Amino acid sequence: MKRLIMILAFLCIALPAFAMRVGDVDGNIDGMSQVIYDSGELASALTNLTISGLNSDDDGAYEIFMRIKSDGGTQASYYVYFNGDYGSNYGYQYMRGENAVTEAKREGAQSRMRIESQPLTTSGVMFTHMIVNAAANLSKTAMVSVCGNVINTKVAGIDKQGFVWNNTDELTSITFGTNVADAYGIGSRIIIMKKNESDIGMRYGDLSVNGNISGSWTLVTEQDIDTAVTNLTISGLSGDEDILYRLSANLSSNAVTETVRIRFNGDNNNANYGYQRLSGSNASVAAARDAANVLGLCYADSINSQSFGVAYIYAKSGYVRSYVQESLWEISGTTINSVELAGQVWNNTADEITSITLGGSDANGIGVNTHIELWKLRLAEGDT
Amino acid sequence: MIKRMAFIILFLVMGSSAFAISPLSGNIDIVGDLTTNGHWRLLTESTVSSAITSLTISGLNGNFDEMYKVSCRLVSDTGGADIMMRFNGDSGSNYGYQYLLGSNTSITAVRGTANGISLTGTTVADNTYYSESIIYAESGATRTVLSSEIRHIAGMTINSIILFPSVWNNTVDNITSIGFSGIANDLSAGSNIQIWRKRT
Repeated sequence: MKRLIMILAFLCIALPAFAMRVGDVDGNIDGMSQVIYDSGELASALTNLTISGLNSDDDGAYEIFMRIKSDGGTQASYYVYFNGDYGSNYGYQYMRGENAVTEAKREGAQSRMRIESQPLTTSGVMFTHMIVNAAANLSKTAMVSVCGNVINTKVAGIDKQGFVWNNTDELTSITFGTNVADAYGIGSRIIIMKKNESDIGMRYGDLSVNGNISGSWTLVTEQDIDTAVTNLTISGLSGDEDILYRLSANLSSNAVTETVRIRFNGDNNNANYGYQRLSGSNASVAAARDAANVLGLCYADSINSQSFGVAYIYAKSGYVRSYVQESLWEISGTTINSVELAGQVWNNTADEITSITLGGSDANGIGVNTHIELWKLRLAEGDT
Repeated sequence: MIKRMAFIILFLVMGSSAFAISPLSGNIDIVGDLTTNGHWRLLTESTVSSAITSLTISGLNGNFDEMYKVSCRLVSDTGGADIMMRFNGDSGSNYGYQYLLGSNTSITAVRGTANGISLTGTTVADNTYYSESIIYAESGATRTVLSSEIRHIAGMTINSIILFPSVWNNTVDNITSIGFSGIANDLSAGSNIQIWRKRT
């Protein structure tokens, strides 16, 4: 018995020196960002949804993904507000591209944060990526990228929005509301992530996770290109389980002009894709929509010219697949030719995404030093 | 018997890849390295308690980490100049940008070179600024940075929302530090800087 106690004592003392190997981790890990709320795809429509029990003074920030599918008839607007505060305590500044029109607007004394690019029509889809900075003793801010109102291959608007809530109270709840009954339609989904602060929890030395850490971004693959290629396909995906993808590409061009586009399941038919973009090049601002094309995640205009793009993709089947992307195009030395903000759609509602192709426009145009990463937001085992 | 039990415990603790962790309460606090098939983890977080001029995060290894995410909430104390983010202390004119900015009813686009990556524009006293930046840090090519920023927050007024991509034209040096600096003591109490790194 003494021996056993000694062995156990040794293990307790010595464990930090070893890498403990585990399969899946369902708990939280300090210093990681993990999901704290997932509505799942709604099985019945909602008008309001309040997430309570938040503790922003500790959490500091939240990352929120919303994929909204309207069931509310025409002109459904969508709001977010904190701690049930529906007073005139919010301000915003946005910039927007809507077809060929660019628009910006600022207002204060608003009763909530209105997040849609334009009101959703029946069956319209919107996808947003929102970061809430909710530090203690300061006003709360939110920064949102919005791809919406999506119908088939038409993306009606792309927005970059900033919000402020003029209140320094701890944020304890977030309410998602709408002006039309049941406008959070069946299939809508809200996912909230937060950073895990240090806690008094289970302590380990090195931890080697061979499975997944639930509710966190997990790298699916990263690839460094050492021989120029025309296309790069990432296979073996399970979009219906992975839910969200984050795809980044740092392109080094091996062609005089090279566009790298995202395509799903080998579908090269442009008629199944659409986008709305807002862009700036030198002093020019432009917006454009195309309901039968794919906008490049990356674009370079000479050999060895670079481009960098990041896209967030709602991957689960059932509705059109919508995504937002931000990119730098045509980098040479200290010159960036253009900045691009875009909402895109793949109108396939049925097929599970099993592969993503980064398709180049020119033979062997994806050059050496190109780096590509695909991440998935893996939820708890069995949750889709 | 005791030997057997010890072996079983050792196997469970160190050898089994099928072992799942699901704590009843509290977090998992890893004091060493976390090895997975890839994740983002907070490397460092600094909150300013009294006004400072600059803050430098050292000991980085950009070639190993490959990507960083930098989240900044910056509160201006005195105002008057941009708060810049710089790599390896390089304050030469080696940075470029092309931004898209919405302010009130206008959208503007501007391209230029600079001696750092502006996270604020010219600061205004007591205003707050928020930014999120993704940095492709590995050497071998120009370093690319994709930033989104909310600038000049005062009360319920946001002066501007900006998509601010940048580059650092150094293709050779490993990024070992990221610095943040403004004019004297402009980084006020409440400013918070987080650096997240990719781990595989």
